[in-house]
Amino acid sequence: MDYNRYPEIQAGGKPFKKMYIAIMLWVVGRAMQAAARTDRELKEEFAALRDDFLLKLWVLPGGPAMLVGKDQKGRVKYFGWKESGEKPTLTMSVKNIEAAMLMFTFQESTTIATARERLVVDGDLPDACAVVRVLNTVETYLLPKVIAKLAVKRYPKWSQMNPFKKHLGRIAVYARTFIGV
Amino acid sequence: MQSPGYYQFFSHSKILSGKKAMEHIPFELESLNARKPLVITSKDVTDNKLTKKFLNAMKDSGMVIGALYDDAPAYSGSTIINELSKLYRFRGCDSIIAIGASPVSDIAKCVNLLATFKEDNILDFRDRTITGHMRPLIMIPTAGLLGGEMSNIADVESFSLQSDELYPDAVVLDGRMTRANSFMEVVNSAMAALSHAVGASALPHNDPINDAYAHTAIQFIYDHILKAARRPKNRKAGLALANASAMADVCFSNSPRDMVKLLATAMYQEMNIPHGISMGILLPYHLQMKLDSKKKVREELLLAMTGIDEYAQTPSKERASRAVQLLWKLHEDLAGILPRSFNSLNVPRYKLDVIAERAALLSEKRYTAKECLKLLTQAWEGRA
Repeated sequence: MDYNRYPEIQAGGKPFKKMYIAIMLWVVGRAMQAAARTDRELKEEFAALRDDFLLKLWVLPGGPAMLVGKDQKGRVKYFGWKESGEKPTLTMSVKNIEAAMLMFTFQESTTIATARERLVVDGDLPDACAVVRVLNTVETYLLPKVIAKLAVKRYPKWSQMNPFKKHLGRIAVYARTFIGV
Repeated sequence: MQSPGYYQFFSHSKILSGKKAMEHIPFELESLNARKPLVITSKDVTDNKLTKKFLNAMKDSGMVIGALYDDAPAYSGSTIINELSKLYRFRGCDSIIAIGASPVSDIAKCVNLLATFKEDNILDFRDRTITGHMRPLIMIPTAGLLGGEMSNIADVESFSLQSDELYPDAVVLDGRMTRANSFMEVVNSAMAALSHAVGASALPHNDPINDAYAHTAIQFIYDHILKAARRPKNRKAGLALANASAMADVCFSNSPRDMVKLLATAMYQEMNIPHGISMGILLPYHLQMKLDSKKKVREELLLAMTGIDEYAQTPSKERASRAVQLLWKLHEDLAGILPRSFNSLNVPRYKLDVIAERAALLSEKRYTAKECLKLLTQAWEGRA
């Protein structure tokens, strides 16, 4: 057998999809920081988490990534995409770039992606459930209803989030996300 | 449900099925401590651009494929198996991915044996008990499955190897890979799966886990076979039938080979008729023979075929015969694709004795040549 007919093959890359996911993770990370300062319920969710809480949401095997956690003053902060010394207390790893694309193009909600084992969670389960609730609320603020309904498990009813609160909150979250406050 | 007296059941394979299933392969390999697979497939898989789809799915994983061998022949010969095991070692591979149907799966399982035990000749494994944990093997079935690809059996030349160690570690069922090119491919694989599942669920003793797999396989087939036969490229139907094949292979691994399978194997060896077609012809005759000779045909077969409503409405005594009627109806619905008898396939009458004797030999004395010939003759003559 001529082995040269069957050479080694290096798997290529998906640079555009990686760039899209990187941008989405940046927006979601900054939006989590912004929403934690805008929405009372999110403030309470984060307050219930441990003081050294640090979430890393990333795509296997080599990124992109998002780090969100509490700073020394207990405020929710977006820490960028690179770990700097502190070990995350909760790591949610998306198994591959296509699974991340399904989540961030809202073809699958976070809940369905978890049920289909597209994510691996390393950390406390109650923290992971809290993060999923936070992500649901952030996506409700960021996305129009027609898209948000695909992304979240249950779109909030009028009694849970009235349109006035939703639209005002949306303006505040978007402003804070892009200004970085 | 009656509590079984005693049974044994084992299935090792993790099944990943659905949208973007192939993209999970690098993660699964990593969890099995493997990073450099040897990919084995055949030319028709490459010609159908399925190899390209596989390589696209592996992008961004950082994986290095040790070699992509796409010249697997239409038989699992010892020479090619021995050569591939040398290629595996030469490239420093640590796992195998098989893409396609039999005999690609048989070749992959045998190469895995040689690679794991660091031996050079697959023929040395004949009549040997296989023990010990194998190197990772991932199976990606395509259309045109013949049955047994995802089982614990590997056919090599003139003999078979069977061991729980031969199960693939993962079976990846992806709609992009399971779309058929022709209705013949669909019917061949669906009939093979149906025969395996019906054969397993028709056993007189109750094995509830095997029954669960068999009944689900039968339901999938009944719900999708006509859709897939009319439109072979129907992705959903193709994936459903691939799922049915996977489940039927698990049943097949956990039950003895029945007369239908043995006769189909003998028919293939003598007349080169695909297994699935032979099994599709033989199956209704086999069950009708059982009914006519007052042997038990389990009524749960009707539940698997039609669902709870019709099953509940049918009196208990009529359920078995109703199930057999439905099999005949499926036969009629597939007229034009599935032949009605072996006579219509130009199998000469004088060959039947040879085929029956071969089947009896393969059965290791579980069936006599006379019993095999009786069924074969009815299937040759056809239904009036």
